[in-house]
Amino acid sequence: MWLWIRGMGLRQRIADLLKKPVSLQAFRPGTGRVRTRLTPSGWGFVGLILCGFLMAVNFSNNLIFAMTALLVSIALVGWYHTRVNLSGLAFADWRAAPVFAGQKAIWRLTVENRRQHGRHGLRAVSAEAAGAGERHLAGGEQGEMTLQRQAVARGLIKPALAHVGSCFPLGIFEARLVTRGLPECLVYPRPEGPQPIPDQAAGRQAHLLSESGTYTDMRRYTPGDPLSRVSWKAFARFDELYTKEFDGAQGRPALWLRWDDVRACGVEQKLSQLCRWVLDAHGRNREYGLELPGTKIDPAGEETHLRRCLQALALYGETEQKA
Amino acid sequence: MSGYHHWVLLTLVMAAFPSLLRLPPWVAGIALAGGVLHYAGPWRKGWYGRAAGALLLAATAVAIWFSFESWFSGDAVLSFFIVVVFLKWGEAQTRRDYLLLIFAAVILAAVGTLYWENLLNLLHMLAVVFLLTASLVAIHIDDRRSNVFFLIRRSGLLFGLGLPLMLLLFLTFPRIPGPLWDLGLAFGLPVKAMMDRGAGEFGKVKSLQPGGIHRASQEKESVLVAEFEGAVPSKSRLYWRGPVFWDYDGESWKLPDGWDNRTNLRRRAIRTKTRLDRELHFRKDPVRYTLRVMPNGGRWLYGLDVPAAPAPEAFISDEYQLLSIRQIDDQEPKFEMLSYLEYAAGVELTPEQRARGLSWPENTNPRLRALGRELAQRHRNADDILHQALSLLADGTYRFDSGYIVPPGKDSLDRFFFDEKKGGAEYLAGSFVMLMRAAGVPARMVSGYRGGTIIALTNFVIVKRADAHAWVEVWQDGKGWSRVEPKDIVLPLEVKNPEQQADKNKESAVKMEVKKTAEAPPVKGPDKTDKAGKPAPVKREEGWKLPSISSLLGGLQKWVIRYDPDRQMEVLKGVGLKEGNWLDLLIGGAAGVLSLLGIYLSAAWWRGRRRVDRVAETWLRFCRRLERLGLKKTGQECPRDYLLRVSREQPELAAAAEDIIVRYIDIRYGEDGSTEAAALFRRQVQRFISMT
Repeated sequence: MWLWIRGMGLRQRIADLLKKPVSLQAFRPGTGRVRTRLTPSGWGFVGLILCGFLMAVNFSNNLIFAMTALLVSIALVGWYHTRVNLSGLAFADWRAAPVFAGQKAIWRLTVENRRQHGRHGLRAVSAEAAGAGERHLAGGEQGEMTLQRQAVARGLIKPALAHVGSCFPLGIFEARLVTRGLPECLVYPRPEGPQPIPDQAAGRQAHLLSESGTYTDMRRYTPGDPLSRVSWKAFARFDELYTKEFDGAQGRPALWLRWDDVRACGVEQKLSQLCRWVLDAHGRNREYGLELPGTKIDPAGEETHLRRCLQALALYGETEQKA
Repeated sequence: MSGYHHWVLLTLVMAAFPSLLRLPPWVAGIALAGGVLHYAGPWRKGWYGRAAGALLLAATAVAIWFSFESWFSGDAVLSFFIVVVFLKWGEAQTRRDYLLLIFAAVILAAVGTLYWENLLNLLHMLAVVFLLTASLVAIHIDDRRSNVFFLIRRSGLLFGLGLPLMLLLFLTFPRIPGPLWDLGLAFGLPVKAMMDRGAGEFGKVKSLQPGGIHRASQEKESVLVAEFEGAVPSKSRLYWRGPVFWDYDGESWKLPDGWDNRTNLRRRAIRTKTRLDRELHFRKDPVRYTLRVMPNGGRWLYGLDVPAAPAPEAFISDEYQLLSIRQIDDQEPKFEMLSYLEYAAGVELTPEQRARGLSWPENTNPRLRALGRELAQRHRNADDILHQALSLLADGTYRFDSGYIVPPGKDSLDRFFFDEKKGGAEYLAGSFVMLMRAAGVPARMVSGYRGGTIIALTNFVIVKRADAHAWVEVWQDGKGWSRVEPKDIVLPLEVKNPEQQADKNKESAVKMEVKKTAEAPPVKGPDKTDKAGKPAPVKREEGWKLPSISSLLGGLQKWVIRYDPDRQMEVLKGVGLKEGNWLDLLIGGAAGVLSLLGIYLSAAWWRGRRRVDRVAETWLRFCRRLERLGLKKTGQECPRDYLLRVSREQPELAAAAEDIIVRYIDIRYGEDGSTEAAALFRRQVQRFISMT
């Protein structure tokens, strides 16, 4: 190294070295890394140590000096205990289910303690959401940490950073286990509005596959098939699951839920009314289509259709801006 | 609400306990009343609760007024502090309140230590810190788990692991000698800004009475600050030269009247460099330093013995003192100076000077005079007389005891020298001067300061009035004036530093040497090893025969309470470092602490290394082994697919791998989750690994 430096002009070499971008990757908070920092009460403790040190020096008092040294040592030991309390925790991704405005958006994280010693005082922390108390994980235990937040308006709750923290045992250091960020959470409009569903035919009859009609066929079971369609007799006989298929029922006509039909004024009110209609229609087991300015979803009746409609309502206006 | 507030209360009571014992009983009473308020429930939050608090505070103020002479005396402040802390406990509610309280408790314990420094206090301190730890853990533990055993075990672990670290820190962290305002003084803060500024009149004193040096050493005033160029010489070689006394009246030493009027001074100044060079014909060990002298009301600049360079507004007198032309009343003269630590000065003595240097007040101290005459008869040579006199002092019966005052009266020097044999520097130097005079050797007494406090990490030395000292100068024809230090030859007071003698006891080899040198003509010089020469044998018998609890406590006392920078250096030398300085200490201490922490961390890693799920652990081992055989399991591959691939790519492993993988699938996804199955699985993997 030294020789290499001397090979060229030393000054030049050092200048080159300085110009080299230093990778700070090692210091960035990656996921799964534990970082410790002083808490406010930790700063108080530092102040206490400083105070003790000054007293020890000023009065040349060895006992106070010993006490200060003991405080420092306990802080050091507490530091690594705080670290050990968090390190080696295994965790998955944060998950969140869509909610309606006015409800609480809840993020969940599964945390697993794979070591033998228990973990104390774990709590999830995020700037955007509130934690739900402290948790204790015994050796080998698996637990769920939650973060929640009141969903006020429909739309998307932006993704945010989150970590699992713990101040155990002394509370003067806080260890942070950086987790992956909180995913965005969809907030549907609040389902409300006085208007009943307009009973307008969509021009064609709905074909409700979920309704039973005439038996048509039997096929191998695939996950997602309703359990009521499973042929239990066949299962008893062949030890395999089969699903019965029907040709469906001729249901009532599909509905069109149109923006223009909503009498309420104001965009949000209209969306709320539409949301209520969508839920009502789904509850009544009818097929429905949704028509918003710029968006049109053809009538259908399954669960995914419901989600699609609600998403369209939740993101109304925002998607337009994106486009 | 969990029970952590009781831990806080325990900490508080423990911390305040020694102070409460010492302070008047009303402090404990008010503290108790304030503490009881805590249990008053909702009542406390109402106005009566507040009123009760205010009433207690007022009562405290009144009681302080009646009990202590001043509002700001240490005890008054301490009492007030205790009361406030307990009142705060009475109204504490949040976590933060309690944190504040336990921190305050630690400060309280530290302040209590100031008044009560012994080993019991060490135990008390340890107890307080343990309770602090327990309180902190209790505050931060999750409520459901807070049973007392867990809490005590946890805080005990923290505390126990902290103790070795503390020991290391305590032994190695460089000591900065206090008080802190000395540091400010060294770095140029004017003495006027100091809190404990004295009258600054001590430079006007013109006589040295018995016990005067001891009185001066009770003062805390600073005399001067010197910044040395390069290393500071050994402290025992620093003599700050002040008044030189010739005239003794049987009671005290006096400066002649009018010694400091201008004409006298001008006459006595050494003005030219050639004259100075002629006077200081032997000189050694030059030191350069910057001197800053605090106001003392006189002309004394207290140059280091012996000053040898001109300074602004100052001159060197024919007694080799550094004197200011103007009186130092308010300003703080600061100048650079050069001194020689070893010297012999003076070319010839005028008859008048010789008469003064031999003068003897009539009818005083006859025994001393007779002894001097006897010495003169037996020895021709002044050198021999000097050595003989010094060996008299070195016979081991004299004790240096700066606080002891020989009962005033006639022949006090006689009584000191022949009867009492203990006393301060003025007796020692005074009787030595008179002895020399009786033996026909001109001698005079020099007063000033010796040593000083080295401010850690710097080249600054602060000299305080506590360093006051007096020593002897004798005249030898052809050689001039030279310094004699009787203090280093006599024994220091036993009680003052027993540990020093304990140390000597161990080094029996050294002691034998010391015995011999005590008989031989003593060498004059500051740092001799024979400080504790004679009484050592006696001490040793006691020390080794009785290894009792009290001696153990004494050892603790020595290592904890009297552990000072010098002992720190001793330890360092014991470890093997030749020349210890604070940087080595700091680096060594940090390295020690880091390595201890490293040991702790690796122990924690070792304990946490074993996974709880043994099956998963074994499975991972199996996968790693296969990976080494060239079959890395991909993340999306399920065990069955993995097995298929293994059989396809390395058919010779297929049978063994199938056995293991099928077992794994059975344990994980099938019904067989029993421990026997897991144990069997582990054994199979073990076999697989040893086979391949």
